[in-house]
Amino acid sequence: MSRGWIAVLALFLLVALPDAVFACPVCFDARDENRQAFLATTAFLSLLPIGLVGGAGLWLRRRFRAVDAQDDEESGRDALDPVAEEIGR
Amino acid sequence: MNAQSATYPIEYRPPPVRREPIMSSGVFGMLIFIFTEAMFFAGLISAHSIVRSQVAGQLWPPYGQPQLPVEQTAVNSAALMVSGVLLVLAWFAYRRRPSSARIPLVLSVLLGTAFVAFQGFEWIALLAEGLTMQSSTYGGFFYLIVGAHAIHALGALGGLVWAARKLHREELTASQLGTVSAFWYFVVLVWPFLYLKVYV
Repeated sequence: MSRGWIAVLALFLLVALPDAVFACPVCFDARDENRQAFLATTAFLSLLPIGLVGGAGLWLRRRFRAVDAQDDEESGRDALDPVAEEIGR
Repeated sequence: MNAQSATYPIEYRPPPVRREPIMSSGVFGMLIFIFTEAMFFAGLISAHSIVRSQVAGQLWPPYGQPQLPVEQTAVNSAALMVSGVLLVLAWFAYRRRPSSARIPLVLSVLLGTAFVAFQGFEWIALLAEGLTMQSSTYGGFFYLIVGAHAIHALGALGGLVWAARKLHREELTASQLGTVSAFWYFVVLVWPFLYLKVYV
């Protein structure tokens, strides 16, 4: 079989088969309520862990930055102290 | 002088300053546990949504099954929310002066206990009306979701009672209070979602 025919066959399978095969054997229903419930719960269960881990990550990043800023402020104050003493003298 | 025997002056470096941790190990561990529990409840809510959407004619509760006490449980839910707010107040009071956290912490425990007790009475009444785990998927989901929450509430209340006793003996640390509080906040914050899903 020539490469051209293989490409045509592959294209045919790609176009025709997904119509007949569902990724999830239960995620379809004639009733709209059920179909919407499947879609909503799929989105909910997919986004919740991302939201939890992402939210925790963002919070930790903010906390680290706040602590870093506080440390910088304290070290800057320490460095200024001898100068202040000099001026005082 | 060859390279092997060369000596180099060692620059003095001050010892590294031990930074205060971003959060205590107890709170961090509790957060990981809470993430897993959030997914557990998300799974229950999702399964409930799917089963409810499959009911023919959207008849919910199914024929012959009792209505859930929506209004009474709303009042009970308010008690749980207030309990969570009191725990926040207890945290701020603890940071000012540990002994001043005693009253809001005890009140929070009492309201939480009242919530669980009311749920128990509600279950007894519903069982008497014929709503059981086997009576329908409606009953099965009700006892599974609300029961799972009640078990979590009992566990978190146990932690709060333990914290209150340690506070009374002046042995409670901020990390310990933060850890048990995080679990109670989860119990409080997950409840409105469960209430809206199961009762309304």
